[in-house]
Amino acid sequence: MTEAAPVLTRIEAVARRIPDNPALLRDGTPIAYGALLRQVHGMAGQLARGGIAPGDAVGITVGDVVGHIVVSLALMRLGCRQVSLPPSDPAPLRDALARRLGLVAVVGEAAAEARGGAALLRPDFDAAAAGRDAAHAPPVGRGTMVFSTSGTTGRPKLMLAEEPVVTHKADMLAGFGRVFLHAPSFDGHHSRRLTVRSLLTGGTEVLTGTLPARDLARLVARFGVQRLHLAPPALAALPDGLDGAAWPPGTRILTTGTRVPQAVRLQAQARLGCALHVIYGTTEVGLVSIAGPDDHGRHPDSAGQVLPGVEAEVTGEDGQPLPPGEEGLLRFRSAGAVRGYVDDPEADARFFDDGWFRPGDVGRVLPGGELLVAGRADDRMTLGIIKIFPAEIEAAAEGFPELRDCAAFAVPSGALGDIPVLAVVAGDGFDAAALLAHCRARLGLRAPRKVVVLAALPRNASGKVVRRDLVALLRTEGE
Amino acid sequence: MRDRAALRAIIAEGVRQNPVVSVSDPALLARLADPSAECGFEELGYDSLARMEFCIWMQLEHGIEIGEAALLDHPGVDALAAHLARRE
Repeated sequence: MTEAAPVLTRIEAVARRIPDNPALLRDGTPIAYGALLRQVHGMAGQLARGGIAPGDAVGITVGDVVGHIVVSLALMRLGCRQVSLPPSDPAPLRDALARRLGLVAVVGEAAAEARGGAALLRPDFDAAAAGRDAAHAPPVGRGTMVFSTSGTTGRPKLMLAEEPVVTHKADMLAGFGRVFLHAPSFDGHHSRRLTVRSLLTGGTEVLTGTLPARDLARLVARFGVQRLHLAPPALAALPDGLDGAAWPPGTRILTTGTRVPQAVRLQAQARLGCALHVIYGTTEVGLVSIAGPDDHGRHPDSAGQVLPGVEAEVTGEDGQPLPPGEEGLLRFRSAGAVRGYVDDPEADARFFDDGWFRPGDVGRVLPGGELLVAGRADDRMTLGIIKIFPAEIEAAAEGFPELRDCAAFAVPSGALGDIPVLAVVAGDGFDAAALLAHCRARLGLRAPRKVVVLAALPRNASGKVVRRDLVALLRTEGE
Repeated sequence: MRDRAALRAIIAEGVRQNPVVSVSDPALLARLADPSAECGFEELGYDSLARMEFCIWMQLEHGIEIGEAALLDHPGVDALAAHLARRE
C-alpha cells in the first residue's frame, strides 16, 4: 500500500490485516479494527444516502467519542470537508463557522445543533454497524479536516488540513508506543489527528474521560498504555495527584507547548520514573521536533532535532536567512503544514511566506540540526540594547528553594526600555534577595532586578500567565 | 512630593544597593551618609553599567524615572537630589 493511497483505503487495508486487533478501547471494551471499519463503511453509505456528496462541507456535533470517530472517518472516506462543532461552543460562534465554511449538513442528534442553515443528519450507528447502507458508499475519497485556532479575540483562524497533513509523522508517533491514550483536554482536531495516525499504523487508542491521577495510573497499567499525551498543566499535577501510588513503568509521556518548565520536566521524570518528551510544533505546521531527556540534558532550551522532512530556518527581522547557529525568527516548511488560513489574507501575509510558516518564535538551529527555542518574539524584552526572554529568567530561577511558581515580565521605562522583574509564588522561608543574587550570577545583565512575591500568578482560562496583569500588580504593590 | 533631603537619602540608598558597584571606602561611605556632603558618581566608580543599574533601582523601588544622562549632567548624589527636587 503506497502512501499516496487515500487514508481510508490504507486504514481498511490495516483492518483486513489485523481485523481482530483492538482499534479502540473504551471502558475496557475493545472495538476491533474489522468491526470499526465495517461501521465506518456503513456510515459512509448512510451519509451518502442522506445526500452528502464528495467535496461537501459537513459539521459534526456527535458527543459520543466513538460515534464521533465513526462519523469523522466516514466523512473522510466520502471525501468531504469536515469540521467539529462542539455543542459547548457558543451558538453564534458555531453559526459563523457554519456560514464561513458553507456547511451543507451537520451530523448530530438534536435539531438545534444544525447551525447556519445546514441540514441535520441523525446518524444511526446500529444500522451502520450492520452494514445496511454500505452499498450506497461511493469509492473511497480523500477527506479534509478543518482545524480552527481558539478564537479568543475576534474570529477564529481556520485551516484546511488535507490527508498528508492529518497523517504526518504517523510512523514516528507509533514508534513512541502503539497503545496510546490522550487526556481529553486537547482540542478536538488534535484528538482526531492522533486517532487517524494510530489507525494507520495498527495502534490501539484507549479512550477515557478526565480521570484523577490515581485512576489514570490504574488505567495505564491495566491496558499497557505505552504512550500518553498530556497537556502541560495535567503533567505538572500528575506527580502530586498520585498521592504516593506508583506510576506504571515503561510509559512515555508526550506533552506539548513552546516551553515546559524545566522544574516540571525534571520533577515528572524523577517522580514518575518515565521518559518525558516535549513536542514542538503548531497546528499550522504540524510536528517540528520532539525533545527527550537527552536533549534537555544537553540544553534546557532544546526543542530536539528537527524531524526528517521538516525544514527549519532562522531569519532576521527583514525575513532574510541568517547564518547557521545565529539566533533569529524561526520559520518552518513541512509536508505536515497547511497552506494558509481560510479567507484571511492578513493573517496569511503575517504568518505564511512562500511555503514557510513563521510561528513568531525566536531561536537557533545548531549545525547538527538541533533546534533551540528561546521564546515568543512578542514576549522579548529589550533593556538598553540587551535582549531578554522571560523563559530564560524563569529557567534560571526554577528549582530555587521554596520557589513554587514564577513568571518574568517587563516594567516599561521610558529611559531604559524594559526592566525585567520576576513574580514568584513561594513557600515559607523563601529568600528573595538570595534568588536575585542567584539569577544575577547565572544571567548577568539579563537577570531580573526585582522579585515580587504574590499569592498566585494571574493566568487566563488556558493557563497562560497574563504578563500585562503582573505589571499592574507591581504598581499596586508599590503604592 | 519629595524634598531634596528625602531624595538625597533615597539616592544614597540606591548607591549602596547597586549590584555592580559596591562602595567599601569608609571615607566615601561617610560622605554618602552625610546629608550636607557631596559624593561624586565618578569617585564612586560609576560607569555606564552602574548608572543603568542605579536608574533601574530608582524606578523599581521608588517609581522615579531617570535616564543615565541625568547622572552625567548632575554628577553627584547631592546634585542629582537637587535636580530631582526641582523636577518632582
